[in-house]
Amino acid sequence: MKSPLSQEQLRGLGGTNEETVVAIANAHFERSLVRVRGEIVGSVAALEHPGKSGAVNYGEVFVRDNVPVMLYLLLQGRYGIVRHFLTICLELQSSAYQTRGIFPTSFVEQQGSLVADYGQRSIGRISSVDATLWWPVLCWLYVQRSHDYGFGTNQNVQRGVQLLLDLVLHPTFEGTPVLFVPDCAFMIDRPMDVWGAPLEVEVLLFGCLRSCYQLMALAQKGSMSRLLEQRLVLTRQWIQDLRGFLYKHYWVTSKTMQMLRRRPTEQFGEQQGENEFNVQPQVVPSWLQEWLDNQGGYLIGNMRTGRPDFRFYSLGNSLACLFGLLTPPSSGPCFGWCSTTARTSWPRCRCASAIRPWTWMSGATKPAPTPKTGPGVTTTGATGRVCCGFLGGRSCSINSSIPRPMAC
Amino acid sequence: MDQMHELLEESYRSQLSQLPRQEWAEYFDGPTGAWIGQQARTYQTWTVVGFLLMHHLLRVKPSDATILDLGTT
Repeated sequence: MKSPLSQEQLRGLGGTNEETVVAIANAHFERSLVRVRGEIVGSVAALEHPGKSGAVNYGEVFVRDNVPVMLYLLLQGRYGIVRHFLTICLELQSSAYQTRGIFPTSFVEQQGSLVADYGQRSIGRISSVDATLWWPVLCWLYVQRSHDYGFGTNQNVQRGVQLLLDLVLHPTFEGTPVLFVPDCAFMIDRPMDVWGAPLEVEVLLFGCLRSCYQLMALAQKGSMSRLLEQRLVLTRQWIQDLRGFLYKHYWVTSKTMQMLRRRPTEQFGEQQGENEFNVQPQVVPSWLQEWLDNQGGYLIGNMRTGRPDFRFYSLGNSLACLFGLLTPPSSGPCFGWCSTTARTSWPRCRCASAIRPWTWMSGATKPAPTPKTGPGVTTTGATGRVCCGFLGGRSCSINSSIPRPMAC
Repeated sequence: MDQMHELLEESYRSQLSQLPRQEWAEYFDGPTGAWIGQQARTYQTWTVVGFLLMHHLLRVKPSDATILDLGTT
């Protein structure tokens, strides 16, 4: 699509006032929108840079990257695009036995047919769990905003929700409500020792389950089904268990911090209530106390047997507030603390690996070095920016409102 | 929460002046997180749309910040 602005303006040299920059951004945004089967479906990951060679797969439509895109389109009332995006993703939900129920990381239309990537084409063959977990969230937000309840109760959507739930609501070796994932399974898609139960995935799971619950409840209103009733009960229970689990094992304040350092280890059987994951006191980093400085708290990055990850992940913490996992008594302090800690950059993962030996800090193994995982890499991606904005908007309401009960 | 609003304003103003000059880079690194990432693509959609969302929520319609509410029923 030809841009209405000149090349000079597009490069941002034409003026620095607010209106111009917004107009430039909007022009870039419109250029990023691509079509599938003749209709706009969403944005490519990055626009080609003049003078640089084409990127590997930045011309594809990534589900993860399109989350802020779809939110923006919803705010603009361009519901048709969001619906088309959701429908195409649903069509591409895997039906192969080993991956049944997962949504693609990205897709692209080539010679009239859709090519989807479920991880088999990506760098390092990683799978993106977050794409799958985002789909029902976007679907519910679309239904809620557009009042297109027919789409929500549509048989294909309901079937997609059930296939997705099959990936979560099943017995596991761990017997915990968290979703166990390999390294690089979400927005941190490089080996950074984020396998297990990383906060961002678990918070997304929380939002995903709540959205699935809402979509199922919508269908249940139309026609009562015993099977659906059972799924609703199970999903509701899972949400509560997950929330309880994250509060118990991930939420850290300067007070709970004191307990972490002094609790007994090597507990067995019925006596292990104080230290279920057998975390040795020496893996609790010494900077934590000073860092928390008696104000607020946050959800730590991961919890695995003997290996907690105390790094601060802004997206996981922000989404926890937005999805209602952290409710006002905790989200208030979390905001307050964030605003004193954060500077102009809003890091995706505040990892002090340049200051302290990484292994000693997190009790975890060293991350495999890649060009995108060096010390001090702070990725200020859009989701971080967006969350920053949402947090601001929500912080006013949180400050003034009484604590709201959990939705389900 | 004044501190939060100050932070948001500061962040918004910094993006307003930096992002067009940094060609809407994919990610940032360096000691303060303000340098263009070593392997960053330019004109990255999430950077562009992230800025637009922030503009919308701060300047156009702040009440839209509830869009991510998953409901209470």
